[in-house]
Amino acid sequence: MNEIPRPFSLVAELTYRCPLRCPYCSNPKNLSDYRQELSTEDWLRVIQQARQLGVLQLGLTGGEPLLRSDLELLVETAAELGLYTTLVTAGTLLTPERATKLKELGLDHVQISVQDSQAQENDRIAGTRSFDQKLATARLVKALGFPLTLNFVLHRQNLDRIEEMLLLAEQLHADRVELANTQYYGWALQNRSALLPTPEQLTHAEQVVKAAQQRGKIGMGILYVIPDYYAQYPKPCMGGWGNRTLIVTPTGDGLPCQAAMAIPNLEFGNVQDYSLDWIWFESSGMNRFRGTDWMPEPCQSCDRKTIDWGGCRCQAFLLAQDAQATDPVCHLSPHHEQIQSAFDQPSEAFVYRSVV
Amino acid sequence: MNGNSSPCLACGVRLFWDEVRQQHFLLFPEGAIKLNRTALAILERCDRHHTIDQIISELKRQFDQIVEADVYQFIDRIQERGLIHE
Repeated sequence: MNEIPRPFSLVAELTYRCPLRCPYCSNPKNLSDYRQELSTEDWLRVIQQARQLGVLQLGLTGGEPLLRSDLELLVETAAELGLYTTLVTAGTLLTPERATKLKELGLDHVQISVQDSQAQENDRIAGTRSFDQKLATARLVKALGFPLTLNFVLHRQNLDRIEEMLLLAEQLHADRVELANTQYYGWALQNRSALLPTPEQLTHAEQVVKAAQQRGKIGMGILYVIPDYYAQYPKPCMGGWGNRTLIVTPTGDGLPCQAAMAIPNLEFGNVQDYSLDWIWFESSGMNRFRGTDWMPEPCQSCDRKTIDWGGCRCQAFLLAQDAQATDPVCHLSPHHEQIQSAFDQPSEAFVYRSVV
Repeated sequence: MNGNSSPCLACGVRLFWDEVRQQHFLLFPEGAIKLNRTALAILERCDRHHTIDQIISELKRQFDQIVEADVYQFIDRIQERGLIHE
């Protein structure tokens, strides 16, 4: 294998607590196992170690990171180290006072999630009234001079309004938009039958996105995350396992992606016991699917193996019960019928995210 | 943009020297671009006070082989990504 690259991004999941209850939440389903959150000292050490490891981009996320009262201290420390720091928020708890303070301390960028372009639908999907507050927060963020990203998670119940979502982003002068088709892990997998879009919705969405990209009103661009259940080839998950991005969970586990805890028998190490450097370079879990040597056929002889990196290991485990298998969304996968059969299941009501 | 344009970095875009990689970067929301010496020299002058003509003449003094078309191509590429503007 070639030399292990240094990570560009650290995704710091400060807490899984959140005022929203979105049924596609990327947090794990066993939320109650994450109550013993890292201390401020732990996070300050992680942020310093991240910079020493080569991290350039720091995402402060959750759950809702604004629920941590030490957020300001973490931002201040990250800014002193020169890290490009993003606050990823649901947009319901950012007061003008806190936002102003975060700007002064050196926060670089704010990302706000919006669930739909219509207030009533946004509030239904989020499981709580939040739309008006999100818009007010977006305006606050722009008024303070932050670049603003709006993130919309797309699925059957909001895709018909993708044009309105893009117009809303333009009205709010968003600098960047992420349109992320739902990825089916955890909560979203449980709600898959209610979330899977129709082919007609996706054809329409692609036309609308292309038109908005040509209008060019979103200066830093519109990122469209492909609906991989409908794709011929899998997505290059996280740009490759242990290749660009490192996650740290609220309880301190280092991971190559937010969903990797779902795969059994992988050892990554916790930041309370190991340095971030050790977790990234030495841990067996981080090395397990690095590069291409681990790949089975049909990936091993595929000329796309360094384009899509075999797809998503979590998806392979969840659908094929084998984390080493080719991602079942690939049309060449022997497990591809798992994807086909998902389209045949009748739609059920949302199961909202909750702590059991 | 033309020779009289005075570009500047967009809000939330900044230069960064990475001590770990010994490498200059342009940092912006969810992204980082590695910069060589000429790219850095151009972007350091995207401060609203330099016209592109001035940037090119200063670059010609600092480096041996500066092709004007290459400078414009680089500036256009960075502008298309919304990272600099007039």
